[in-house]
Amino acid sequence: MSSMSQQRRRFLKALGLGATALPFLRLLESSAVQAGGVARPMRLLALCSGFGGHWGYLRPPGVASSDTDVVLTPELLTYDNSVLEPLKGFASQMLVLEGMARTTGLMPYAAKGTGRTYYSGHDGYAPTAFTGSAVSEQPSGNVPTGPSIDFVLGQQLGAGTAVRSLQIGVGSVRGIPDQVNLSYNMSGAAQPAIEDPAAFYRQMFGSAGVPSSGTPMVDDSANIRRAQDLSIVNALSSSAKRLQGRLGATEKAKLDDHLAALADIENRLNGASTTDPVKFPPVACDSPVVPAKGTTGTLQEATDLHFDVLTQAFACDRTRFVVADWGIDRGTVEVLPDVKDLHGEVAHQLEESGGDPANNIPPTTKAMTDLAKLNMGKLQRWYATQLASLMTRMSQTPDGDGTLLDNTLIIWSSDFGENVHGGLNVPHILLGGAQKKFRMGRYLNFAPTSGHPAYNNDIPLYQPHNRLLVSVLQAFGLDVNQFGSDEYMGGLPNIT
Amino acid sequence: MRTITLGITWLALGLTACKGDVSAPGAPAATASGGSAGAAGTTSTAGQSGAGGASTAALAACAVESPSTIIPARVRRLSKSEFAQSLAQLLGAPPVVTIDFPVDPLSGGYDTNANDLRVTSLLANTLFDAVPALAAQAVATMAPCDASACAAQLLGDFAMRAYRRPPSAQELSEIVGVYTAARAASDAPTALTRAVSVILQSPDFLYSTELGAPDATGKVVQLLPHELATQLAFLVTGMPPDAELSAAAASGALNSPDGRETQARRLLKTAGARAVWNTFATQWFELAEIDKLEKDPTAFPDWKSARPKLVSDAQGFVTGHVLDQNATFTDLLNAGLLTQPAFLARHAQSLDDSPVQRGHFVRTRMLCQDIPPPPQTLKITLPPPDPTLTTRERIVAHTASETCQVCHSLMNPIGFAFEGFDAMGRPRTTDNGKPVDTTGALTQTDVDGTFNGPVELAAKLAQSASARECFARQWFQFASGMPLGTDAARAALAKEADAFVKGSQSVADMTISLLRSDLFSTRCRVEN
Repeated sequence: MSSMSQQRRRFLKALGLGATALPFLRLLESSAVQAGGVARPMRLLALCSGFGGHWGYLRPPGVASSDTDVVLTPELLTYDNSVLEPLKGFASQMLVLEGMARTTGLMPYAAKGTGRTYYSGHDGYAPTAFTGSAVSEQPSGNVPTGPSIDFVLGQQLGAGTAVRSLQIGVGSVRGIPDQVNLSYNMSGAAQPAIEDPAAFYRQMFGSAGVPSSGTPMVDDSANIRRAQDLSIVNALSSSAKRLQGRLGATEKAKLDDHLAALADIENRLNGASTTDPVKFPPVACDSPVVPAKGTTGTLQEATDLHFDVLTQAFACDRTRFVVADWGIDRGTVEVLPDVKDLHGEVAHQLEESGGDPANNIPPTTKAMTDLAKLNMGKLQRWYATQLASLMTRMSQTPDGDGTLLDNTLIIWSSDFGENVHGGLNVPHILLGGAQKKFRMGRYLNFAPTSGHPAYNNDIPLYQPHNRLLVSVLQAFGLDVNQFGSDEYMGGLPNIT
Repeated sequence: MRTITLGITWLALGLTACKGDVSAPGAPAATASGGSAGAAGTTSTAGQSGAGGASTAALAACAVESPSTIIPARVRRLSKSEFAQSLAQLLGAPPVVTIDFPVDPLSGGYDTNANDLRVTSLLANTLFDAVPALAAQAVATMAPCDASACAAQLLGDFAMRAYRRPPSAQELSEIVGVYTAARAASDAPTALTRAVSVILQSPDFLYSTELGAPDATGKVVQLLPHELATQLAFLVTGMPPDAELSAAAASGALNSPDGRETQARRLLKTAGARAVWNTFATQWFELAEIDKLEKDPTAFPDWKSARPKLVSDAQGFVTGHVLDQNATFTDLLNAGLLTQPAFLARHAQSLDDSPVQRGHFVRTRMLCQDIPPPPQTLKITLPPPDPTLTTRERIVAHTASETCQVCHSLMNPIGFAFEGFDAMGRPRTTDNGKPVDTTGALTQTDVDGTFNGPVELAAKLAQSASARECFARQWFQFASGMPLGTDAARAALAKEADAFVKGSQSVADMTISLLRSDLFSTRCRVEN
């Protein structure tokens, strides 16, 4: 099968490079720690948590607006109501990025009567969060034009694992508009998600008929079984190609996806992927622990179970690239029992207001906004607490000559930014060792100093999150200088 | 004293940047039509890839030839439930292993979008792992066989059931080839299991084709008899064709509208049809995620135990009226469609009801009008909670300004109709100690005017051709897996559902009318 080259062409196309640029797309270097002869892959977990982010308890206290680069220490993260205090033990494995915006996710709307266009980042956050793509409103929903980083990395570096890349839904409420989906393939089609931790577990470890990555199969019966499985895959591919031959270009893409999936299975059956640019030795994996529960109940349960399976899946190299929506539209009652309406009482009460005496609307006082900010901080602190236990567990999990945390990059972002209505100043916090690809242990502020000329200066010129996505891809060894929208080039300054 | 909160939808609050109506993204300001009378579905994206990337120009060319040919020739992967039903029918028993079919993306609230349903790596892996056990289960029910002739017979029969058509000679020879190769090293049941493993994850099983005859010429193609049977069966019953339907297809009966109607009316009486309507009701009302909604445990201690019944009551209401009572849309509204507790609880906060969310639902899901999202740069601070006010009073107060009213006037006055129901959908006569005020108004619709309470609101919506047309669109999007992305497509649906839109036809009969039409039986070849 030649669908790997097909995938590669689509990958290039999605990056705006075209087939002729093929020689330029190479891995700069292995995305692996090479120590003592044991190479381990770098893993990615990219999360979006719910209800936006308020910077009041995220930014280290005493930091002036002119301080654009501050070294983080456990002491600096320790203060009343600090969001990041639960993570203080990981201060040196943390990069807090302020001043980032999902500018490419701003969607234009025409304001009738004024002749003006206004922009909203509200409905387009998920399609742009990890794609960096512009978002268009289609009858089927808001969609990007290209892939998310998990999918790209999976295509390039995920061969030989059980699943090249994966989207999990951790306790979010999915609904209308269809805002939650974070993972997209090369043509921008939304990818399915796993919401049940037990299903996540089976997906990672329940593969009875499929050998784990690179595990050599030696005995005769296993060889016979493999030969028979290969003949099944060949018959499936043959059918897929026959059907594809009857389809127009748009529909053909569906069978491209299918054929690529079959090619992966074939490669795994062959024990190794000859097209995998980076090959890792198999991991001897102890019997993983089955989740205690099958379905998710509370947000806490969903979080615990998913993180448990995730840690084991990373450790056993069953998958390397995971995106997760996390608690979107959840948290009322459970996390903040004193708050009855996170949206109205917290997310929308972060700023003082003089009210509207003409309409009997009382002012919103500083005391009120202070309380809202405190509650928002508590919610974010809850998320930080969960991440701290995840990181602790990863730091106790051996991986090659180091720990799993050494070889993992976590991106913790949120649905919305400081302004509750969209993608401006969205928190992006990098966590983990990330194989030392980034200079961690710092708070960086890319505060805007001017308006954005492309938006009539109505919107401040924040650092586009596309550059972070480029830097992440580069950290994994991909030779790219642009990702998603071609409006922005290059990686994020000052982080490597 | 309870804590007072603001029951505001997180979708849209107000628009300081928005003076007057606003339009869909990218639309020229001059043609903006957010919520104008009768202009349902203002998310006009004509010219874009509304039909799953299909060329609009090609679809327009088909429309010249056949105005109701609006669906492109395509393949459609079975949905999660269609796959499960197909498997159960093939095996004749529940599957012996759990199949972790991934959660497909929602499109417009429905999980049936034909462009999004794909065999991803995740799904292919899931199937490849689960299929050996399933194939063994199937083989265990087959007659003993240890010869290539009987194997070919068994596999051919099984493939015909799985593929919903006879396998081609080439297809069968490849399946038998897997058997023959495996038999060289394994026993006969094992070899059969390998061959059945091909069938159970074959593209010919996983996709239904809507392509017409391979040798057909021209842009507009008629679906083949087996394609008609497959579409009709999944659409009406969520299952593959039964024997009678397959026989009707083989006789050519499904080529005629009358033949399709006969079969559809028969199938509407089956349990499968009830399941399909339950699913539609769930997805239309956005009830799928109700298990994750939290309610204040003090005010609603029985919320968690009550949830399953709320959902099944709402499903039973819709399905019972549509299938057992042949209800019209008016009947549905008058019988209490909008006061289903599941609907009212879904569109509410944890403690307080939400007139904004409920009004938003009626405006967007029942009138198919768009309410645009709030501007990026708008900073909205809600007024503080006030324990002396009702939900309605607080909503009125904080959305009173002209800028807020641009959008909130489209939602609040409708949502106020439901002030007689609390956050769990239970009736109430007072809110915060004051009598509830359920007066409201419809504006920018074809049935503008004031009303008092949900009964009067329902009576007004029952007079609305826009609401009926919107309902037809909702059902069509769910059933066809394709949103109506162009004016021409919407016009084609309105024409074929004319009797329903005018109000004389029942919901079930509307679906029959669409099954009789070219919407159902033809496809447009957009590229070849």
